[in-house]
Amino acid sequence: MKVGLLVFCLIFGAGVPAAFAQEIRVAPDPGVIAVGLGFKGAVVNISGTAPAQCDIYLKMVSPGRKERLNKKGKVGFLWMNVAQAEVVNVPKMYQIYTSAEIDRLPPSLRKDTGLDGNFAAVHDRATVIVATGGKTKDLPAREGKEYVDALVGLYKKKGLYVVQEKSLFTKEEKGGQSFSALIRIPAEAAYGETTITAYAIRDGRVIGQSESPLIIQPTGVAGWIRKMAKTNGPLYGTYAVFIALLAGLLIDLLFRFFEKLICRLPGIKRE
Amino acid sequence: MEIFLPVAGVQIKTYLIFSLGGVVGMLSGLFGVGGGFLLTPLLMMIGIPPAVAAASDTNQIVAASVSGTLAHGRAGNVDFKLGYIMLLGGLTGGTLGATGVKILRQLGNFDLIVTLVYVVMLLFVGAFMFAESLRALRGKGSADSLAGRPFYLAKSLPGRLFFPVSKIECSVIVLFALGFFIGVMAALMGVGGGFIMLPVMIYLLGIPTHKAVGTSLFTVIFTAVNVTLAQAIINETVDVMLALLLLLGSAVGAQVGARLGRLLKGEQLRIFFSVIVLGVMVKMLHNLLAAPASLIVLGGGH
Repeated sequence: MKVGLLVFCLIFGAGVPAAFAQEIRVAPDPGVIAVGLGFKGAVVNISGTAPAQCDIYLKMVSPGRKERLNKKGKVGFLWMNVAQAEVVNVPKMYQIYTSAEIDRLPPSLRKDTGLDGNFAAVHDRATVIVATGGKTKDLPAREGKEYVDALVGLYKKKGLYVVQEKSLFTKEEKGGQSFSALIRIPAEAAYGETTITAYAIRDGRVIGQSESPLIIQPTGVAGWIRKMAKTNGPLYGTYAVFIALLAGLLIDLLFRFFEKLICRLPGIKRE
Repeated sequence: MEIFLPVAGVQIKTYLIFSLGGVVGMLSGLFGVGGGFLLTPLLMMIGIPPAVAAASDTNQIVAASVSGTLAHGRAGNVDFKLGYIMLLGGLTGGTLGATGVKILRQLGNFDLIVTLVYVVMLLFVGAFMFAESLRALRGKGSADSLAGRPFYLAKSLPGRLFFPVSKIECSVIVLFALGFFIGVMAALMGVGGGFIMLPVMIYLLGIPTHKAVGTSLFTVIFTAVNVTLAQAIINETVDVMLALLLLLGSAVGAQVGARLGRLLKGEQLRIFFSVIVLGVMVKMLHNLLAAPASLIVLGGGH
């Protein structure tokens, strides 16, 4: 068993040499957020334990997704849509909470862990496909930066991309420390399994790392609608049309009923 | 009261959506247009993603147009026979137009040309209708004096039929061709076509204003159903909850609009319509000339 663990550490633990030297644990409460029609966002308590005398850094990242963007530019003296882009593999939610400043981390560690105030990891992983003049092409990271920047800016405004330094509450415990943070998840949060990663960092080195999932899933009517919309478009579209037709008919019936009831509404003018 | 929209993924005030639907539905009932040109940007302004706004807005147009058509129909203001023929042309033109868009985009500057053509057309139609309606209001002739008198080709080409509701005799070929033209234009410009349909019916076909409004609204039902299905299947962006709130408002609004329209004279209706057309034209022109707040925005929308 010990040999197995040692081999496992040698193979997978190279990036985090002291990962198993001391324990760090993290868990969200609640671990599952149900999104119904009355969902207004949620508050999650993320707490855990960590080795003593180290800084704690929390990172919360949702799965990558794609988003379509339009770019405006000047054609002659007119502002027009000049390109359409699809930005792929960008998480909708990327949040960092720490017990110390991010600047204390060496640049290489910031890059490796994704603990970067400028969300550099998002830029590194994103792919940008641009369509212009009927042709599409993949943009290199530097050229695609403006699209990713725009998307990150948009997510920041919605409270989905957050960096809060020294926002973790820590308390010395026997043989270590505990930490916690109350985190506001906005209503526009990404569905799916968001990964919460806690890093224990001392002297610019990761001495412990732990992951825990936070599941955000639509339930009830909201869940049914979303599932139908994403998995059975033709049936969902037919339902949508029938609901609309029925609503139009019902409202007309209601108006006729009230018209007859009152019998005093303006008469029909025929040409 | 607030509600979470599962496909849009945003939380929104229900009364706000209901009111927006009501206002746009009233315009549908009054003028026989879908109203997407107005509703989609308004939805985007309150935080609905553009793709969801455009798709769900089309879904609510189905309800508004059904409700409005029934109200107009009872007043004898829907020419179903004429509407079906123009619709057939419109759907054919729309399908070919959609294919044409792909080809034209590859030629470059397609969006620029289409937008400019659209602005010029709105200016022309709006200004012409405004001037004509103003003359009519001053008692110096009216478009309704054209009623029952379609333009020369419509009367001279073969396949003539009499349309008792509109009280015109017109060639089926011309009706199909006009429907086809509107369908192509609508596909090229990414709009429903109500803006073009109404002036064509009034000024080219000689259909009285109230009947043109009712018949135009009738054709809108089918184009809106078609687009809703396409959006649900291809883009998966129809939010039924959003559409439901909008359509409850718009179906009521369409009934109110249809009744309000009966209280107005044809020229009064036309002058209000022309003001809206000119307003949309000014807004488009402003979008073209003013520097945008952000150069890169979320995609989708009309």
